[in-house]
Amino acid sequence: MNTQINRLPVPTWNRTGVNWLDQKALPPDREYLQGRHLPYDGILPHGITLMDHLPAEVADIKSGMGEWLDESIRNGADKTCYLLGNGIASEPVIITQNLDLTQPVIRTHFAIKANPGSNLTVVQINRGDAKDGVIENLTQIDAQTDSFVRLISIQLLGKNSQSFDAVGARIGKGAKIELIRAVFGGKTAACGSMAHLEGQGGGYQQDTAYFTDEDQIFDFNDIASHIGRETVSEMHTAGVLSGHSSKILRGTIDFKAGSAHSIGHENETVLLLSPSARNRTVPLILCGEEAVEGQHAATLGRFDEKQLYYLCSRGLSLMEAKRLLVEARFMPVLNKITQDDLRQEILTIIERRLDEHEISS
Amino acid sequence: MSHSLLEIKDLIVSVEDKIILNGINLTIGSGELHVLMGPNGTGKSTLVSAIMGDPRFQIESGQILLDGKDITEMKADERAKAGVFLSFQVPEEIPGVTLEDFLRTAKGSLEKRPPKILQFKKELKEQMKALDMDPSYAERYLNVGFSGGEKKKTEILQLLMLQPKLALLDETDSGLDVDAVRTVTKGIRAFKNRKNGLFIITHNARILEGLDVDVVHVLEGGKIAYTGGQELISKITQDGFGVLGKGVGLHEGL
Repeated sequence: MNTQINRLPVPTWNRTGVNWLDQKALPPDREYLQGRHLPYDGILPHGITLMDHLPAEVADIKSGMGEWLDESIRNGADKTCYLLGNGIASEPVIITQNLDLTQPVIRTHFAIKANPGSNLTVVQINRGDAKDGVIENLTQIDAQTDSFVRLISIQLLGKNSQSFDAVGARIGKGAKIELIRAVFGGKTAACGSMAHLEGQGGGYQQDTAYFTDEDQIFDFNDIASHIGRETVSEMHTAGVLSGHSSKILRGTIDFKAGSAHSIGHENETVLLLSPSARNRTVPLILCGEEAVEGQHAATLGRFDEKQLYYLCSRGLSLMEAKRLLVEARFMPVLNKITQDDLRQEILTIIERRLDEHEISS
Repeated sequence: MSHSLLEIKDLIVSVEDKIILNGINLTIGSGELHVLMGPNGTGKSTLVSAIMGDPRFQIESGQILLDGKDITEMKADERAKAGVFLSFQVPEEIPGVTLEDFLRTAKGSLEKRPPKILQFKKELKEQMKALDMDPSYAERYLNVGFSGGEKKKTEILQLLMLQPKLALLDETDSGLDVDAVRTVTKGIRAFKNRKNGLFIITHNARILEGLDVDVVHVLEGGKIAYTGGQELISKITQDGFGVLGKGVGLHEGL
């Protein structure tokens, strides 16, 4: 089994250092206690029930982080949360996990099976901190015909911990999945998603926002695998890099043979607040089918002077204008978070980071 | 009786060590509408940008006074707070910030307190209706995906919502169809009163239809080469800048 995490589907020169997760961001090399697979015991809204056992076809869905991590979480999970969507869920399921000294390691296996025509939203919030703390999540989603699943993943850990967030999604005929991610915390944060667009007309939308500072290392590996005809994927990432932090984004659109008339778009915008921050972006489009449309775009830069002047000409100070432009990057993600207190918490983190950046610069 | 709203004295402006404006003198009184014309590349946009405080332009010497207060050394946001507004020839797109949020933030900055939400929303709705703007634009990211005409209308909407003392309009009518120009003119008419002032750059008389123009200036070679009344506009639009005599219009003739 390949033990590499967040492996680029088609590796490039090793010297670029982008083929897989950097060693510095690997999970700590230590023995974990065998997880007890404790099932979720929270209240579920109408339209969502808990499955006692994970169906084999869901357990087989690969995430973007690689087999080794998937299996490690699946086998060693401390907690499980296997959700079944039937009909339209009245409310989102909100699951908060807290790292602390009493619980410095959390491994959770989530699964979401959305029955045909169902509609549900799951919000995962990871927060807290612990020295050498680790949080590992694997979420496997099976969106069946004409269903809709929105997964919102918010990572607000402290800077002593590491996070690993693996998502694998199978998208059936006419089904849609939205993955919304906001990543702020952790000494290191690794996320990997793989959308298997199997059914005709299936859709996948992914919006990621991140903000790094100090020495944080963020690593993303997002793959949209188009298998069925007329499938659509949209993957958008927006981030801010400051301090001595670094980030790698691997974004792959893979058109398999038979995915005729499918469309895949990926784009990324990165704002560099510090000359010491390092950004690496690896867009990849693989084409095994002719009648497809694939696009990638990446924009990296500092503040746009013209935008700043425009905002200042309306009365905003330079600092207010910069803040507005930073917050604007997170809006496509924040706008999809309907919980006001959570939105506010994220905005406060952004404000605090900007304050820290202004003091240090 | 009108007083001097904007006074420009011997203004010399450069960009990348090249002098663009070379001794501009100009006074706009409160309640007055001035028009600035001139061949392409003579520095019209530079002049309004220098008044607004565009950091790309260096003021070498001279003074800009607003309501008698020297704003020459002020930054763009301070000038905006003092009452200057520029309608941009090419308005910037700001993804992630809706038109409504932007206007609310700008109004809060200018008035030093956040606007009352219900009153603000009502006013925004009314002004958008007056400008024949689809209300859904308020929820869209500022200028992102807007057509050229919609961007210009949005500039006029900002003018009406922010109510500055002095409005500088840099070719707000360029690229607009006949109906859109009429709507923009309607917006300018709604803005104009006895206390504020307007300084409009245009190549086209249509935007000025129904407006009382007090003074027309013609810029040439970085200086105001000619100043006259409203009749100058039709003269220039019919016969070109050459009709004004020596110097003026050389660019057009090249």
